[in-house]
Amino acid sequence: MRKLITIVLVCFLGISGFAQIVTIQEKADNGKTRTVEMSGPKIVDINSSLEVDVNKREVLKAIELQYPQLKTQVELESKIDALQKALENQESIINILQSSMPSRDQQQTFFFQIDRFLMLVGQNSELRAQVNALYAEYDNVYGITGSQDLPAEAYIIQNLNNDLDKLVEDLNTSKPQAYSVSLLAFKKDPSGGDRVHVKNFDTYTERDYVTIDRWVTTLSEEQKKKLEDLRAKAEELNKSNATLFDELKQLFKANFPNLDCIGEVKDNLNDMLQDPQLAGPFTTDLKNISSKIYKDLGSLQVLIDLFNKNFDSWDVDTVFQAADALKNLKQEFESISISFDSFKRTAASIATLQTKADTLVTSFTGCYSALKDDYDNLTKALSLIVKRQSNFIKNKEIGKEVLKFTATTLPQKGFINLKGTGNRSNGDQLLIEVVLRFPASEDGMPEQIITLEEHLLTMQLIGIRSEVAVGMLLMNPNESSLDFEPERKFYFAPGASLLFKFGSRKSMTYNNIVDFGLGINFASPDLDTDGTPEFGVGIIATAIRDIISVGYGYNVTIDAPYWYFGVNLPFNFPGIPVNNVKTTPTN
Amino acid sequence: MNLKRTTIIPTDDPNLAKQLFQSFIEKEMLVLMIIIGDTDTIRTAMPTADSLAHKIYFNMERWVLWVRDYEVLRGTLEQKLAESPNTKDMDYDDIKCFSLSPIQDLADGVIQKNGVLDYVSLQQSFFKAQSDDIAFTNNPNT
Repeated sequence: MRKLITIVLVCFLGISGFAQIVTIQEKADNGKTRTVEMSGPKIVDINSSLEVDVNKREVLKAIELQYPQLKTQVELESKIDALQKALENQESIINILQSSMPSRDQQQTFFFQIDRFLMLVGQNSELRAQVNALYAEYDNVYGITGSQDLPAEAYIIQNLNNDLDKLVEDLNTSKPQAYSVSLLAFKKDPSGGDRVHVKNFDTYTERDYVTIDRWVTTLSEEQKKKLEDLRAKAEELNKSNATLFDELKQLFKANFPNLDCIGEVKDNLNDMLQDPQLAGPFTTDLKNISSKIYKDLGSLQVLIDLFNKNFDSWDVDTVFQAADALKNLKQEFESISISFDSFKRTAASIATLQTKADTLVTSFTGCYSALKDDYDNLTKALSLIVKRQSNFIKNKEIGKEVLKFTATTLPQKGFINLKGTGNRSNGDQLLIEVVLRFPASEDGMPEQIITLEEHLLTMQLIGIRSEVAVGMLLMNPNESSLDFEPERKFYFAPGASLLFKFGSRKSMTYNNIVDFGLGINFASPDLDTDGTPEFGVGIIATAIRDIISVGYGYNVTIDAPYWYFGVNLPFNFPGIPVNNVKTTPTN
Repeated sequence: MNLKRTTIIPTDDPNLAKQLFQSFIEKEMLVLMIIIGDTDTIRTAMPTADSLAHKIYFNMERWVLWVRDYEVLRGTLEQKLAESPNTKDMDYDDIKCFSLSPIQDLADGVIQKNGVLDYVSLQQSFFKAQSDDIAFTNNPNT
């Protein structure tokens, strides 16, 4: 069945003329180069450099396939590009050809340039046919011996120039659509990912230069502590990664202005307006100001309430809506504050209103101050969310540092130095994409991006490497070698192992799951349970990422061999018994 | 086929073939193109090669030798290929055309059996061979 699927797939790919845009060469530290099999698991050495070869012809095919509207334009551009390249040295070629006594250097230049011209012509079947036809035409026009004034190559170049002018004119009259092609690379790891610099294709700076050590033999105290800190930090970050945005949202919501004080100010104002005793002193002007304040306070209440409700449904992509809402809120605050100042000034001139007005102004001032604090807190919380959103978008979007090319001006090669991609671990991935980009049709809209091809490579230390592992072992001592009666069959003992492992470039299953290790184990058991740790040394074999281990060792303190196994689950197992230390009863 | 600047090497007399070849080798200031085999493709390409041999660049004459049988000059041609830096690793049986430089008689401009014989490739072959001897065919002060 598997064979049948393979045959069908091969036939399909053959018929459809499918080929890769990108081929990747891996250069190891020892200088060895290999082509990465794109149909295989695509595992590359974590410390290698990659040479990314871009096949322009396949880029053109992919564009035609995925975006047929561009076919004519891309074909024209391709012809123009081929002609422009071939005609690069045309002036020099013609000058030397028509020179009566060219020097040795000039002849050397001529032969170099004409060889390049014929080579480039030869690489393009259409152009080649055209040049062959022009040679034949030249023979017909000028005879087999040709013209001294106009040698064959000069005649051909003249004609090609005319064609080039016509092609450029055709392209311009066809109103070409703006597009560009880019090559991108991203590193994907458990914490998210990062952009990766591809030389010739972008101007990103490389990250910290990190070589992943192949031979790890010791784990210093400092490293242990650092590892623990890092692990704890990573766990915290991993946990917070998914929820950080929600937590920030909660923080934002916690700072939402309290609407109660606005209600109180509104009530006080309403009381004042409705008080028959104050109807006389209230001037029309003051009434208008008061009504406006009353109305604005109502609007503010609605605005805050709406903002609060809407905020629940906004996600990391729509934070800008919150920023807009907050901006509206600020405008409303300022408008009410100005109106109140005006109210205060006008009311101050009316003696009978003084007491009531003062009470109202005091309650408003307190409320305004509280609202202002809440607003400031909201702004701070929003800036955190916006920052979070920026980080989120930054890793996803194509930066301005990524260079844009047409299908014909794409560089032939790009280079990625994996050591320059910063910290990374076995199993981290590298995504390489060739994308077609169309500028936004309207201002403020994002550009349209179509992926033409993508490859996901896995980084791994290939070949033999060493690792240090620690874990709990269950030891079974050889009873006949003990000079005491063992309390049980298995004893727990902590152990550290120096393991030799092998990274495969053919099997992800092996690297990610099987992951055999073989090495030396050092353990500190307490088989006689006297409270003093003994020292044991042995050989160990591990599998499934060191979760399972088995080995044979010798307790050099009490001269007893033992075999052991270990199950190091990536979490604490509750209820693991510990060896009971014998205690001597005190008399 | 009216070939004016092409000599067809006899296939039935190896000694004569060798003498003829040698006589062309001894001529200086002549870029020599060797076309080997007698397939339809080669027959079609011969007038093209002959036509290009009429074209003279920087006063250097051109001539075409048509060796219709691979065996008739095998030893001589294999030796020429082996002596030339640009062709020393090439297999004679994979080649259907190459040119010899005018003074040192270095082989260059190889067109392999799977290559195309047309104006573009043949002209490139002539030019490559001529460029190998620029130092010997020109006064450095000119």
